[in-house]
Amino acid sequence: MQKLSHQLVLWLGVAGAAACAAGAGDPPPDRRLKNAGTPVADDGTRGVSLLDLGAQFASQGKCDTAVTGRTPLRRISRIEYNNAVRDLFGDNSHPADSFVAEEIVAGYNSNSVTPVSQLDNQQYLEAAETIAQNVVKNFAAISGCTGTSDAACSDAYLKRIARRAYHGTLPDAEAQTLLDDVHATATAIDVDAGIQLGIESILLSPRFLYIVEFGDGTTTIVPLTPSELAGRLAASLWRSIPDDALLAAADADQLGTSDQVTQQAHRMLADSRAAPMLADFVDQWLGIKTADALLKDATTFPNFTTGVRASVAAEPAAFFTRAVTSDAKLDELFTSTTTYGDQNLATFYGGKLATDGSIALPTERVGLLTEAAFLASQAHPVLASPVLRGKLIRVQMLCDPVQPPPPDVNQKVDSPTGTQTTGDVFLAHAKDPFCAGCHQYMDPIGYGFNQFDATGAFIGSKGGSNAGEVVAPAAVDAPDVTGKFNGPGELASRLAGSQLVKQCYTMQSLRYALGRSEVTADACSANDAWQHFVKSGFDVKEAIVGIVTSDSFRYRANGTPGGACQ
Amino acid sequence: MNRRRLTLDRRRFLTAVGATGLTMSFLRALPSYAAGTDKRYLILLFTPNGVVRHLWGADSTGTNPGDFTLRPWLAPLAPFKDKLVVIHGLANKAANGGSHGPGMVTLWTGDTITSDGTFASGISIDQAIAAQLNAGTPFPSIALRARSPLDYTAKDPQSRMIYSGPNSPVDPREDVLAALSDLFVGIPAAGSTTPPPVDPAITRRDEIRKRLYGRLDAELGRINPKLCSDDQHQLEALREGWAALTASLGRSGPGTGAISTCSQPAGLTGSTDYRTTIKENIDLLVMALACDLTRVASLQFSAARSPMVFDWLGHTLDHHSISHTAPQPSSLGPNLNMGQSDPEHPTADQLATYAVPIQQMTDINLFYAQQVAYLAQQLAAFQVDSTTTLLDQCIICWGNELDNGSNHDHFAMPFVLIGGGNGHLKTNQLVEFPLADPYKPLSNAQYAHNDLLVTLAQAMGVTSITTFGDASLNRGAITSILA
Repeated sequence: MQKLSHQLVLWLGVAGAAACAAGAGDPPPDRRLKNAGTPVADDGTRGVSLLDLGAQFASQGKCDTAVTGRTPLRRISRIEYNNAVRDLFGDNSHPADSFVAEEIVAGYNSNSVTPVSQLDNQQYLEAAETIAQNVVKNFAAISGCTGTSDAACSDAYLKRIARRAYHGTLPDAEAQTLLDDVHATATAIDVDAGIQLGIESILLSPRFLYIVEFGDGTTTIVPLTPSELAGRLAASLWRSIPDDALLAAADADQLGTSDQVTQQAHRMLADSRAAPMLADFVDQWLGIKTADALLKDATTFPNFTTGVRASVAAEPAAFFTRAVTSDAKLDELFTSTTTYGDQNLATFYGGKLATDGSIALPTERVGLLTEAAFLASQAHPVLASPVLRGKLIRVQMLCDPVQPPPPDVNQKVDSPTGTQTTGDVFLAHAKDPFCAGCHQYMDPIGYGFNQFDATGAFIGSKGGSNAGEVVAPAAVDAPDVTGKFNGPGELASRLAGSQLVKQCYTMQSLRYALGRSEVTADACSANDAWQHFVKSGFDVKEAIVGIVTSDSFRYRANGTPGGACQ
Repeated sequence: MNRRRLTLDRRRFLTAVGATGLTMSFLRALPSYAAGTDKRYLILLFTPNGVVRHLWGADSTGTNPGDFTLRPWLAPLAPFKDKLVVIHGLANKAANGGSHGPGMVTLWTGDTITSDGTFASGISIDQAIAAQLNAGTPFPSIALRARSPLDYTAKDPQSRMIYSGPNSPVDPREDVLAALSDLFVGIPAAGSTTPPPVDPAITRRDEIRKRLYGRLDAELGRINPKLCSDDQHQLEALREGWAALTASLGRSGPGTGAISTCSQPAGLTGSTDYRTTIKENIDLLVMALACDLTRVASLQFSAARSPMVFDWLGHTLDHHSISHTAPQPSSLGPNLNMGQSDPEHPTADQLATYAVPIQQMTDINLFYAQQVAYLAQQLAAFQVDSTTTLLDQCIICWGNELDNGSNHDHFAMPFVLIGGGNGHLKTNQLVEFPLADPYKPLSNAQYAHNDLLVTLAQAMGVTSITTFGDASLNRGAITSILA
């Protein structure tokens, strides 16, 4: 049997410090993998090295014909279900909140690995029945028809919403069988039952529950049909389904060029439907926990009440959405001295809430990285965690994956005693050469946040020194982020100016928009997206626009029917 | 994505254990011998984050049956001592040196994994048993999980222990109220013996459902041939799901082997408070078995690497963090591979050093043992006949993703069986497997827990399962447990 090595992915959540010791003679794990385009992490991601590879491919003419990695059949996520029924029926009940949670693929929720489960099926069925009942009950208001007995009107309505629900594509034959079954049910039971069956059929169709695409053509790499592309755009930019304008553009063949897609993307990002997507992205990018899961020890933190947690948890989404809609540049996410929130948040920060919902940050806070939601999510119930904070920044901001520790690691965890700070305890990692092999990449970044406790509250020098260091990334060369720093402000400035951070952000956008890991065949697209982002002066929203205009988004790699998928 | 490419699809895998998705649905209508008088129930029970070895288990006091005393963590099970089998020394070799996730996905599957972060590469024993049992109960199996808002939500290897095939986790029910309405259809309300009247709305709903299933099957048939195999595999699961839902159309009332006093469980609130949801899950499970809704069930407390905070016990750290502060073999000697220390016999010095975390781990595990005792007590409260209780018909197998929580070991996995398997289990005993070399658990000398999984199948009457999971880890059923 092959023994698992360096696979303890989950080990990093250990609270407190770990004075760890290896088995005698074990060398520190070698984590230097700098070959362009090869996987740098256990999940197969390539990281920013893919951009270099893409540039290389482009110069060799390898990007002249469309190329893309394969996007597997993906089942829609809970947020997509909620948004779809909102857009179809004005149903704001968030029925999918109680559905089974997604798998995490390349750091983002995506149902593309394990098959649908029996419980998923049951939940889909029950949700569809409840939603359909409400639609039937309020049919006139929702459909614009006089009632369920107006067959011509309700048929047209069902066809219209079916196409939107099916992510843009409704083959004529499918429309016909849908209406045939609706009519048969109306005859056999009654007209309400017919509509009920029609709505349920749409909400349970594999064409709604999955993003089903075939592309246009029979070659291996084919462009998506305009309707399929409309579906992908809505799924990625709204986490929902297309609207009529998008489908009209598809039908008028106005999604064929990169410029046309850019135009649509801009319209969509300016629409209020983009806000839930932006919130979804930023919360996953920064590892933000829900208000419930931000529960901390009540004895140690009596002021971190349910209300405060809710306000804290909402900040990253509010801040990020505001930044994107105001054309902010990526560096401003790190260096902004203003945030957005409510009185709870203002009080928690010791800042003043303005009438426009903005809060001027006190001097110790700046940008995303000192948001309490970030600091508290990457912390334990009592103790702050330099390991978790450092790891999040390294993995998500620098795209420098941290290999998990080997199985034989001895972990002895101590709480700080006497005048020790959490950071003091964690310094133990640095003393042991084996631990330092990996922990040098995480802990020293986290030390820079020592003056923020497990709730993200500022505790000043009580938390010890805020001297931190970014050890040179293992996966890529990046002198622009490397070196010592003093506190979050200095780190933020450095990240704001870093090319690596900007490139990594491009890769994060790609993973989120495609719902999968990048592969070598995405190199051209990743590079194209990067060039687009550069040209925009690193306008935050242009990172994702660069992705949705790329080949990996507009084309698909078809496998052989019934044969291998590649 | 590095999830292992599957070479066996679900259907082929189920065929390998003697059933297909389709026969699972259709054969359920044909009660087999198992639905007769020799009724047995399996409950796979899970608690997380490993143990402190010297406090868990039992000590032998002689050579006769019953010659053992329970160690502190199992003390709450003392009232059921004559219904226990405490098992020491089975390794989870399939976990292959991994940590929480690998321990979780191999716990009931016994299929060796080669990479961390992956789901199981095979079916779990309960699903294999359910497929073979054909008990004719309304549900082939029921999977439950007690989860608090503090717990992990993602569908990942740490949170999934039950599998219907390779890479196919069975999602456990986490909402007791939804489970109540899905499972207890046509069953009298608590305190009543009269089934609820047939609701015309349900009749209408089912008429629509019947038409719906026909359409969706046809629609799948139009899409699937155009897809490549991995994508087909995804939609095939959807079709199997619809087939199972179709088979359940019109189903109502308890199973044929129900105890006459079976009813809906009383007083469920759906609270997410951890203690409350555990109790409500147990109440629901016990009634599901009393109503003979299934013969095969699982109940998972939290998840592997559980982040639960037991604040009502005065804890401020979460369970996982505490588990790593407890003593570990490797802290007892300079080199953990040298076998210089013995987790079964820590020194006084070590006990003093780790007094606080040991006490906290004890608090947590006593809490869990009390919940297990509550489950046993509730099952024992149902009298099947003058000499047999529902507990006597059950085989509760209580497991954990780890052995020593502090060090992610899988050397001597903590397993306890509770119940009687309707006379097919030899209880009131401590079964000890030798740890040939505690630090070389992968040596051939040590027994793997795959043998226990086979034993469960045999005790449930599924004698066709003679090996399970990774074939190379099997030596056959543990005959000393089988009656």
